[in-house]
Amino acid sequence: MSKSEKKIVLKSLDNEAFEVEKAVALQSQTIWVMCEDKCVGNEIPLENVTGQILAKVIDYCKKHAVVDGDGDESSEELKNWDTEFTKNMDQSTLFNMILAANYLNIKSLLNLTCQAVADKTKTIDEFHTFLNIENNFTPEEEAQICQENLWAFDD
Amino acid sequence: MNYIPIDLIIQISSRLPAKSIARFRCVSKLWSSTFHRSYFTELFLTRSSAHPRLLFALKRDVPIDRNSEWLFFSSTQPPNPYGKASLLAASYSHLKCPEDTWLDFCGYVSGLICFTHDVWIAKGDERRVHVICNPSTGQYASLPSLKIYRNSRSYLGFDPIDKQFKVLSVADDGHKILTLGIGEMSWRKIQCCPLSLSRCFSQGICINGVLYYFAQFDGTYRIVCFDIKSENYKLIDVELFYFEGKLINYKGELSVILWKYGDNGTMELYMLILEDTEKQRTSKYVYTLEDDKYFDRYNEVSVAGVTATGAIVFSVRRMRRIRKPFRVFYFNPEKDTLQSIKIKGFGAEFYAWNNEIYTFVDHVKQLATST
Repeated sequence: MSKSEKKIVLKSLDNEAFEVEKAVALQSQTIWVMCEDKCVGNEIPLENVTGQILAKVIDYCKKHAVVDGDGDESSEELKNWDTEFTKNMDQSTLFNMILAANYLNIKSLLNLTCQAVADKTKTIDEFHTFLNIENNFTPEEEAQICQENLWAFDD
Repeated sequence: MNYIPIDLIIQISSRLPAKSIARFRCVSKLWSSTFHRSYFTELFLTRSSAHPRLLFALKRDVPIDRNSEWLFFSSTQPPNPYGKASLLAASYSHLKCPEDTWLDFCGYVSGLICFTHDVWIAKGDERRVHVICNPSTGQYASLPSLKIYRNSRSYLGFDPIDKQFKVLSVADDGHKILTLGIGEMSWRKIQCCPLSLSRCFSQGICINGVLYYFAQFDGTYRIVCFDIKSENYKLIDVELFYFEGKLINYKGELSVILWKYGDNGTMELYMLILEDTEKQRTSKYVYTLEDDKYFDRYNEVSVAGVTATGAIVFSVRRMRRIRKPFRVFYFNPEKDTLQSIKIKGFGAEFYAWNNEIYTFVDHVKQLATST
């Protein structure tokens, strides 16, 4: 295999180009299918992901590709890396990461980011922001349903 | 803010603690009904079943308030047999009984615990109240009371096909059953065990929709297998020797474990694996207790269960006011190793009590409750 065949170019929504090892990019099932079907050249346009998010996704894939290949890092180290990776992301970044992981079909990254959002969602207000919805109960209905679930509020 | 499709929101929500789900039911009509749908409760259970946890149920009797209290804690399983020797248990919930209520442990299956409380009304009229509790959330419900007779015993079972929990009460005057669910719950009479006048004497265990318990019929000893879905019985013959043991789930198969202290600081472990009613396989392990001060004959150590990988887990049953950390022990029969694991996080006051502790090895978080 020549050098150029081992590399692949991913192009983001805002036209940022990333040259990565094929092994790194193929963790995405979506890209894997595209390559398998030979429906794309060496450059893959990803119309749903911005450059800022794609850079993070590539970081994640690089980390996980190395470990899967060489096995030189323990699973515990990898777990710690994952924790650090999502720790300082704000909610909007996390949401975009979830959407990107879903679109690119990277299961482990989707699991990680979904868990990170779940861990950060504790209060009802946080859940409201997360859903971006309005409360459509009447005051009476709300009082009743909260009464039914009263035990959930006593900590 | 970007719009997140509903299937992803459901994926994220299935990772929330059970208590948060109940809280978020109040958010909107759509979410109230989504979180009640069986699709969601099953997804939640599946996710939790992938990572079974240790559950600790601590009982404390409070004579001054004339009641008992139950505290629930949970921790992850130790990461590997030779990993860290201590784990942190997180507090789950607290069940404080009303006055004059002393809840005794009756059974655990698939994330729910059944307790019983016997009430004396008049001579010859004693009633039993079963209380079903979800330790992951602290939610509980009392079932309609049941007149009890001498030798009454109750068992909690779960049918994984119809996803139904049932409570079976076995007594001299007959067998009664109650299906947990929505709407009015009531006890109904069912056909008795094929051999009448049986006396059951063990705690039950429910594996893949079948409830097992030891019973004695006119001098003969059998294991009763009760199918939760069809409500039919079957009997298994077992060598009398094993009736002192404990019924456990060994990698999905019914087994009996018996442990005895031998001479010279050894412990003998006998295991009978019942692959089906015909085939029985026995194993015997002798473990030498190497100066392990906890794991000796003076502490009430008993088998709590078996992990998915086949490690037999022992735990102390009563703390006896010893100010030492609570421990569980993982015995690997294949490698003949015993690992002692400290459990932290029960809080200081815990050690001042004369507690009874129940340890469950394969705890899953359940969202569905009895009501």
